[in-house]
Amino acid sequence: MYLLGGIILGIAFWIMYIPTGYIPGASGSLSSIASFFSKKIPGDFRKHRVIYFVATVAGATIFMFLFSKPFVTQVSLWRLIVGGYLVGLGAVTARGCTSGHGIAGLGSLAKSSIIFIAIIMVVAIVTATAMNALGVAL
Amino acid sequence: MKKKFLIIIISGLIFGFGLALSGMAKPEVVLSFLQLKDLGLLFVLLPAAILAGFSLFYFKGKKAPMTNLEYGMRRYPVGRNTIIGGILFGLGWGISGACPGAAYASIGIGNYPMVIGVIAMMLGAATYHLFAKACPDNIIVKHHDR
Repeated sequence: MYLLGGIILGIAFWIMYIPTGYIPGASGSLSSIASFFSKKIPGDFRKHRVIYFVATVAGATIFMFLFSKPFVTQVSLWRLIVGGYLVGLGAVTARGCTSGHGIAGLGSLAKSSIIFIAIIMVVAIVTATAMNALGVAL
Repeated sequence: MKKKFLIIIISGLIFGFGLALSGMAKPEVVLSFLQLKDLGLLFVLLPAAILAGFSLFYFKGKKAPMTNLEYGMRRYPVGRNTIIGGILFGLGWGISGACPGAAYASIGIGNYPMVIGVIAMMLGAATYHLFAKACPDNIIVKHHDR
């Protein structure tokens, strides 16, 4: 399932990149949607990115209806809020996330992406392991 | 509807489908990977990057038929922003088990609390644009051949 998932993500990249030359990345949608609320936030490619965001949600829904069932996480809300905030801030600061840097950037053998992915892996592994060791509840 | 938008929709649908199928849409799966209990997620990221890499290197320098854009690599200069952003992102990923794409897919599989997580991500993105953007990036390594 992991490998198949990875191959599908690669194919999704091709479908965007080969006809249009656009390099997809998920975190771009964060700024684009936030730009509806403030003119100080850049909303470049806003229409594209909002559509991409909605399609990503819908694609997962299609999978759920066909092959799975609805899922609700046990991870507590404070972890989603604090973690989510840092993820959003970090992704925009570093110009990309696990998809932009992790798929397209690593695929480009870009130093910026290799460094970013190495840092997030180490920091996230230490953070998640330490929280678990300290007995922080999900 | 423009063909370009159809492409974006199909690509997004497949992206979300793949994220849900791989398990990344479940924060529990990601957290268990980050605690090194299950290394499967490496088999998600690496093949995706390798397949993307084939197309990035194969088409380099040519022009995309639909937009007439020159195909470019995704290479940015390495700066202080890469490192600070990576540390913040890593902390957040380790706390929540969610990265942006996986969080969108998570909403799609019915995980409604993740709506709050994604709003928090947008607030994080907004914070950068409203408050942190004035800080210079201090480029460490220039690497910008597109």
